[in-house]
Amino acid sequence: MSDNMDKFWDNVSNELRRALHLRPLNADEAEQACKEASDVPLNRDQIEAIVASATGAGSDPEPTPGPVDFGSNSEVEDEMLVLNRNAARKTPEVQRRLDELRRKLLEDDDDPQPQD
Amino acid sequence: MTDDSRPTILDDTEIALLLRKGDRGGLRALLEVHGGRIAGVIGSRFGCRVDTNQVLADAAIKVWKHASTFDDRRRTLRAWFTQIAVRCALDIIAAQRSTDDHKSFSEIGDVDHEYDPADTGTWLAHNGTELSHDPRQKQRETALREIVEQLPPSQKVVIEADLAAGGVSADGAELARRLGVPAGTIRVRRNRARKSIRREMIRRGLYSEEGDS
Repeated sequence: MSDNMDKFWDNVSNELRRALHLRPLNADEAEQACKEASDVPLNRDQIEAIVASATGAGSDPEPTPGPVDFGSNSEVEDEMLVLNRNAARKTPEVQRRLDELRRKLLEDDDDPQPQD
Repeated sequence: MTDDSRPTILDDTEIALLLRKGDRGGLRALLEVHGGRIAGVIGSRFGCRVDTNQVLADAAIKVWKHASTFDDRRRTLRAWFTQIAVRCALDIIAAQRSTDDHKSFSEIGDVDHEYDPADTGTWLAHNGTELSHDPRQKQRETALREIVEQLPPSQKVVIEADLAAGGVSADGAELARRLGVPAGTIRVRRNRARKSIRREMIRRGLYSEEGDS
């Protein structure tokens, strides 16, 4: 390719990227894009397929710095997620239980490490 | 369904907490709460150039692997997921063969030393943002879109791949494989497309020979 063409492409490629939306977004742009976009709700099957694909890919998430107890809240979280899935049938009793679970979840995280 | 009517039970802090703990319920909740809006972003920005489900699946893998890098002081969870999804879409358009984060993102040209799958790094600092409301700039961008839109589809796909790859030449071998043509054909299409864009920009007064675009 000629020097002229290389120079031309160097000059315009970033502008073309912006015009054609072929560039990454910063956080403000991403937030704005979400506000302007229509909502295309995902159905349960789509979500489950994506979750299975992502979490079954054989790659564990990066470990969180600091001590994390992966087991202590599992029952609480499982129950919260069941309640979340049943959100359309939310009743005062469900809401009360959710609040209680949420409180417990946060309290457990704030617990100091036991002293020997 | 609007944001207001959606039964949001877990908030972003709780979802992020579950993600950091490696709880797949966090990923499920993220998709339930924000997936629809992000699918809308991908659809509106990229149209039929990408499969939205594939983009969300690729983005979910990155979220799952890098949940610990999310920092709610820098951006919302929704913005973070959107940034990752957009970058996954760009990788697909750029015909990046590898799904390896560092390779594909470094080819976009904005990888940080401390890896963050959503970070735009220095690229945006040098190239501005989309949030400009200058009407002349908007008019110019509309004209540029028209010019690219007028290219033959076989050339347009190469140009879009180059732009998605950061303005450099995209992976010609992968593009050739995807399009079922010899690699040399990709080079020919790229050259013709760039010449057409340049000719049309000069004709419309959008570019001068001095390079003052």
